[in-house]
Amino acid sequence: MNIFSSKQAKPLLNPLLKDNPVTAQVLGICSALAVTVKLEPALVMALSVTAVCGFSNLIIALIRNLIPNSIRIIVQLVVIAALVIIVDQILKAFAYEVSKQLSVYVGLIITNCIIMGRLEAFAMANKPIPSLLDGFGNGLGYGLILALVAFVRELFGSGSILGWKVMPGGFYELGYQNNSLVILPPMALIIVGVIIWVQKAHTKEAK
Amino acid sequence: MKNFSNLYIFGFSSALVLLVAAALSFTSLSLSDRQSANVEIERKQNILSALGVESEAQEVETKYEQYIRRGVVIKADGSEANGESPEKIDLKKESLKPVAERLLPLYTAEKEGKSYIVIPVRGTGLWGPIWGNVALEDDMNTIYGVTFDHKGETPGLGAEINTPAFQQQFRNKKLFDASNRFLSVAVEKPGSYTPNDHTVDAISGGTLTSKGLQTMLKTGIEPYQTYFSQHKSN
Repeated sequence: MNIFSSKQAKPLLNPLLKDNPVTAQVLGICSALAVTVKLEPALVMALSVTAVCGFSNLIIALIRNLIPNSIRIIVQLVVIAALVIIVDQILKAFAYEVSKQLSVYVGLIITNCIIMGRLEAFAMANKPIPSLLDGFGNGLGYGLILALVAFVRELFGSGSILGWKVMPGGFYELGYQNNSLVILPPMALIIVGVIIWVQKAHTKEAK
Repeated sequence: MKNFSNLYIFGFSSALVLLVAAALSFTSLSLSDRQSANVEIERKQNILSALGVESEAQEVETKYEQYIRRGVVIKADGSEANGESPEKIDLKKESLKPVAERLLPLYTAEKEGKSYIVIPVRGTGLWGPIWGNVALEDDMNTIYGVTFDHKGETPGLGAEINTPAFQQQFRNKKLFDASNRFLSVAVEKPGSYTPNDHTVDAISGGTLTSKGLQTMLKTGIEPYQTYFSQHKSN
């Protein structure tokens, strides 16, 4: 079985653009605002969500026929919570600084609607491999938006990318200033809004 | 969807919970060494940072060796408690004991030919613990630098206590007044007081965190007074 045949790739690629969880389904907005001040935590957050989303989808898909319907939500939550705690522990061991910046938001992945949404909508009814791809796809789709927003916010808010100063010093001499409005949460919402706008306009044209 | 018997549901959830517990214990145990190493690095970084020495994780050990002379544990009467190491003191437990029985950790340091002491403090903010380090000059009165951190104060409000802007205010503040009375440093609403040696601006919207910090400084440093009077240079 070729996992990159067009049918197989669909769950992986669709959520990146057409069905993006943030811009098309408007899920996971809270953390998209909270962790996108700098690019590095945003990327780590994106990676964490992708891992949790992918593997929880895989696990639930593997045991989907064994889960009693009456307790399925609890089972899903237990699986997600366990994976999130593992991710949190790994970050604390290997990326301590970033884990401190992300603080409570790693724990809050548990409540990210994208993950439980995918479990309910996809993993409960599909085979393990497509579910794994669907999970990764949605995590990456979320991560893509996070990275875009964080890129804009770090560039204009701090004049740097991944902590490296990229704004030429000459700009500052000419009176350019880092825009602290971009650092504040409302600006993240505006950037997400602009991305949604661009995407909506684009898909309309494609039709 | 099949109908499952109650017994099956019970068995299924028990098995799931056991599996998850095993997986989590395994992760926690296998990573705990690395995690405590990270916490230790951060503790040393904070002590150094109170002395105005910033350090990357890789260079903490060398810088710590370079600046920190030794760590000691003293009692309220100023004498040294033998056989105790300051790293192991649990400030939360100590704060519950009567002052006379408390074990008080402190670090002596030397920077650019001058000697300093660093006192770790711990208290409660609005939502959870706050902690920090206070570096004093050798008159045991003038604050040389501070670091504060918190577990979960409100971002943008109480959480501002870990920003340089807030911490720099403490520099050159005095613990004692002219008649050698212990006043500590109060955190007051900006504009509500005339600037003096014992007051800094509180954080707007972070009143309870600010007040917690003020209490932390007062109760945390007060027991060291005997030590101060024995060791201060004039």
